[in-house]
Amino acid sequence: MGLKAWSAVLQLFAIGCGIVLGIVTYHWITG
Amino acid sequence: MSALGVRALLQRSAATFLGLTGVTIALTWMFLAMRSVMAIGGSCAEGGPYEISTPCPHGVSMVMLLGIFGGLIATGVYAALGLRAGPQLTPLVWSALFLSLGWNFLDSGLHPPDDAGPVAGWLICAGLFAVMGGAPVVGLLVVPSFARQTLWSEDRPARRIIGRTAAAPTAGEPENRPASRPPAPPPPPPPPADDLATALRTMSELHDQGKLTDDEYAAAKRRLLED
Repeated sequence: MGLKAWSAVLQLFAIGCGIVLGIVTYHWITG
Repeated sequence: MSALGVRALLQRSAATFLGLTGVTIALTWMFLAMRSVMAIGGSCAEGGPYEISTPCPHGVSMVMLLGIFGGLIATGVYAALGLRAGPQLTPLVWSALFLSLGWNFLDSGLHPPDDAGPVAGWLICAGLFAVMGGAPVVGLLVVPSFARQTLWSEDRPARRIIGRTAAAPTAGEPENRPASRPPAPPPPPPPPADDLATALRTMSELHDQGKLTDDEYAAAKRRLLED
């Protein structure tokens, strides 16, 4: 249970970081 | 937890975080790059010896290429090297890609940049992408085992983790032998007819050699046949 919860939290964090970094870097590259 | 276990957990966690972050960045890039191309009519060109009527927005070509190949690599890192427990979102990467791009087709098909009314071709693409991207989502809803494996997977055997920490099967040992397989039955005893025939042949030879009298041979033979 602990490992699965850790995995879920880590992946939610990764998705959040990915969206923010994706938007920021897209506008940085195409800006 | 042993030092090796902590190290493997850290490696797996890093692969999960970097892989999934990379996948999400790639999907975000693809979504935004497609929107910028749809906003100028749905097609553009860059480079080459020809006169280009609609040049691509600055940097979009590079973002598309990096998004495609970077997304594939990041998906591979996430799927092959990431944590084995908890969400296993690889099938949903497909859904995220096609549903997000399908949304762009739907949005642009209903509200095209030239305000000329709905564009049938883009709406057909939107439907096609919705079907392709929606298939794993439908699977999540109707197949409980697939949903459990995708959203809340159990930890898998240690030998599948980096470095094969568990003992590998020895030579000749099948890797997936069922645990409750019954032992092979012992070979059946030879049929008694062979013993009887051998005994009768021996008796006959002894009788022929004169070591048994006629009466003794007849009595022994009768005893053998009665047994």
